[in-house]
Amino acid sequence: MSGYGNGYGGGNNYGGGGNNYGGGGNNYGSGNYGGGNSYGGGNSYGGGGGWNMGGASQGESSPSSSAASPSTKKGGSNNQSLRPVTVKQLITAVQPHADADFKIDGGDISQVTFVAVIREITEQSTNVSYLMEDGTGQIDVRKWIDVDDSDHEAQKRSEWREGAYMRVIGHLNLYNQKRHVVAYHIRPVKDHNEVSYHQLDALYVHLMFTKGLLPSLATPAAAASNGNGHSFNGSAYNPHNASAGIYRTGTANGESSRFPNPLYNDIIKITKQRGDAQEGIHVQELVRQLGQFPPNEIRQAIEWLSGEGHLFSTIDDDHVQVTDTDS
Amino acid sequence: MIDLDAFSPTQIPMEATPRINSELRSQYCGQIVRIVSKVIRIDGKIATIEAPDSTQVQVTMADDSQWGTLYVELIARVESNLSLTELASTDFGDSFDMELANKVVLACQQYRDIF
Repeated sequence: MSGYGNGYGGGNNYGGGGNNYGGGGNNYGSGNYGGGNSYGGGNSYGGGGGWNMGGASQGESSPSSSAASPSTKKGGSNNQSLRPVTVKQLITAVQPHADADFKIDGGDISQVTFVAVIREITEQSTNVSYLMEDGTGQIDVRKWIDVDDSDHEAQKRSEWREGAYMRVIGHLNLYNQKRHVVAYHIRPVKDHNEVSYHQLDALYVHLMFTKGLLPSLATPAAAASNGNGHSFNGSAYNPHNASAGIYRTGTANGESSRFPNPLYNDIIKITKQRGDAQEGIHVQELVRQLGQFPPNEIRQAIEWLSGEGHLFSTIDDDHVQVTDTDS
Repeated sequence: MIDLDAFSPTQIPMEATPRINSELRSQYCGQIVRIVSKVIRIDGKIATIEAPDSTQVQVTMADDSQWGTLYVELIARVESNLSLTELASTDFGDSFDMELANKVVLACQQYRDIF
């Protein structure tokens, strides 16, 4: 799960804007779920943890997209979420009024990703149109051709053939009353388990929207506002059935269980409690405080938390401090 | 992969093709479905495949069929005798998790609002 999730980190970059520090699979959380912290703009890198989803509504949705034009490709959107969807979800997405963002399960969508087969290719002077279907429906996918596209780009495009599965990252658009996806990125699917994975990924996010978070991933606030969402333990929806790993359930005391892994929460908690305001806390001190965990596991956790923007090193590499001292 | 001379574009199923396994065939008689298959053997135009739920199924292959790998995803019609007639295929490589694919089939059945 985490491996696949990280794969999305790359995808996120195609959005145009550069400010999502949420990295990895966390993209879903930060934008889509309308997390309590607004990750929308600027430099709010502090709470990038994707599983840290509160109850408040998403700060800002992207401005209405322009018609199909090359500008869409680079037009940064404030809503940096990347939602995995099926084609059927794109076809049935609702647009509250002209120029508004499309909504799926009540949530604004900006960038979407899906896996589908190319059925028809139509080359035009400024773009190539791919008719794609994924078993749930079909949709037109446009890829704009840059005049300064290198031969390498053209070479890559020539590998996108009819009958082959593609991973697409793009933006759902309406032009002449017809829906299509403006693709930022298309690549051929090599390992076809990605087809299976993507279906489950889309389903997982759909269920997050419609049924609420898994109890163990929900923050107390989300749990309170989502009281009806906790009937999912027995189903395939629950990844806890499949594996332990970082998906162990949160801390029992309810204090800052923003990460699914209790070790991560403990590191943040101890750093806040014991760390010096300036210097933070020595890594050795964390290792000592968390004697029940193996030191190398703690170091890996610190590395991950640093990489994700939750911790930073202070006076030297052995001292870390939390990036958000308030929550 | 799809020979447009053999299949006019209208014959290539563009609308929904439910992902199924062998057990679900009876519910989709006469319909066009998607089924991931492990190729067991090919005898002329008749192939025996193993469906995601590990049951063997007979497939009448398309005239221009070119299965290149051990696993293929078929778009096929379910005949009244529950055999399949291939309309199109996509190579899925020589390594593929059928158990996972079967879970996807079951999930697709359960959550028809998005699949």
